[in-house]
Amino acid sequence: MNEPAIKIEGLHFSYGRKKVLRGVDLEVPVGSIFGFLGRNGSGKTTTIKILLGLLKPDAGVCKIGSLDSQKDVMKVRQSVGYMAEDQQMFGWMKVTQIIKWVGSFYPGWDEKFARELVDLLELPRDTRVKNLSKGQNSRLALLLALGHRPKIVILDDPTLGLDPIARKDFLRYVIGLLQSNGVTVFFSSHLLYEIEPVADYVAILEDGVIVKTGKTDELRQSVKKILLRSAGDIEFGGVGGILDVAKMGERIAVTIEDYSEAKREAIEKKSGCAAVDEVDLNLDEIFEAFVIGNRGKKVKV
Amino acid sequence: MIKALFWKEWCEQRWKLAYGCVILVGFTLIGLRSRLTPDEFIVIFASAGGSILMALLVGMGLVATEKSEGSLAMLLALPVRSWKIFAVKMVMGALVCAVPIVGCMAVSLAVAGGREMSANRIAVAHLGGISFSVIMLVWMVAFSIRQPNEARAGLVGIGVFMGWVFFVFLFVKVFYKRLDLVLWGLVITPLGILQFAASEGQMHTLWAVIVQAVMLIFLLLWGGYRFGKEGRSKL
Repeated sequence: MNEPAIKIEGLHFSYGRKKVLRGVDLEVPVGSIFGFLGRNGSGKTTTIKILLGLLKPDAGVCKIGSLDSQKDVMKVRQSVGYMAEDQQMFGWMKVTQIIKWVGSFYPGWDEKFARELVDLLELPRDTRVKNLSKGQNSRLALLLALGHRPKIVILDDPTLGLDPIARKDFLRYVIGLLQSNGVTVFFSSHLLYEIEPVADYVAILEDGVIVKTGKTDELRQSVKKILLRSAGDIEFGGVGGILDVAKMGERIAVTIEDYSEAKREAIEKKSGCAAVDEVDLNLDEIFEAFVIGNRGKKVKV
Repeated sequence: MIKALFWKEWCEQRWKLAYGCVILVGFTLIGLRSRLTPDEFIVIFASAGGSILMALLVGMGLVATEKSEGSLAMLLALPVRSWKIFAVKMVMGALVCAVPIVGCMAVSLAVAGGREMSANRIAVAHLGGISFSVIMLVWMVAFSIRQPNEARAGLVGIGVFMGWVFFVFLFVKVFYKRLDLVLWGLVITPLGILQFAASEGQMHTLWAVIVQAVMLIFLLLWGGYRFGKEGRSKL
């Protein structure tokens, strides 16, 4: 069996008394685009910082390939391409200067490839970094993360602060540059619609734990919403896998994890009414159900 | 790798170096040539005043500027040990503090060496200024590493300096009848370096150098440790 590109086991981390990560377990398959989803402050950036050895966990192990992110910090950073959330660079440097400067820290820096990327990402060579637009800034940060041809790229909310067009452009570049080359991309974001079309796998981080992980397609198929018509209060106690129960006009919408006919029948039996419809959900809605779903399993009509 | 770090620091610090050279060397040259005041006043003012000015100017920007601009996070995420980044910053900072005072010393020796002050006396005064400037820089950076901007780092630097002054005042107030004790008290603060350099108190100067060197090593280790932890401050 192939070693995963990234493996996280039992990761715990606290900022003082505040527990940020409470036992994160994750495996990122080689060559996949992995969407790491979570709300602001859910611990995505903290997890990434631990992966890069910028933070020391209270407990747990993080591995990048065969490298331990705490013991082999420099090797990890040399082998991984990292783009930080809202990455600020040295404003006084020119684009060509910062590329050359960052390149000097990576033994495997490919100058020819970096020059090609400058053209491909449409970056102005002699402009100072402080004069770049937000979109150009993000593309430059992407170039700096890719110049040493890493096999694993970690992008921490890379489109933060970009307008929709720039966001689309950026994603186009990411997909174009990385997907075909077998590079593993670990992509954190809180914007589900930008992850959905590109991610092979997703993990949802909420309140310091992974609440769901799996293939994007399978996740989409396994989580369904069924609509019931009901005239009275409904309680679903005893039925497993209910993520959300909400009132939608005269109907009750029940979002179910690991959907199956048996579960549907159990819900119909428990509520005493037949399902009138079954709806596929997008990643946005699935995320919402996992993160803020009403698991009280009781709704008043 | 180290060369690249030095190049970056040089590009960031060179304007401060140029500013320090123009202001301090210019002041010394004009002051000594015009002879409006005794040479000693110009020499002491340039070396002591210049050392404080340069330490504040450099110490304010060494870490805090990168922090306020957000580039520190990028720097600390590069595949280079944080202590190396810190060491390069401190070496470059110390050079930027020292070079303008070395310039003052050269001008003082050329214009007024042996005139009212001996060449040796001029050199010792400036060496004291250089030492004081480097010590103050290290104290300032070690204590201000968590400050989010230059202004706050500058306030910490002024606070550190005033702390030494208050300490000396208190010491003199308590032990004013025992001059020997007062001199030993000065050894504890970096101000002693300036005082002994100016008055050529050789025995106390030696002790002041030893005490300050020990403190400097501790502060550099502590500062380096705190600098390495700077990437950890954001959720």
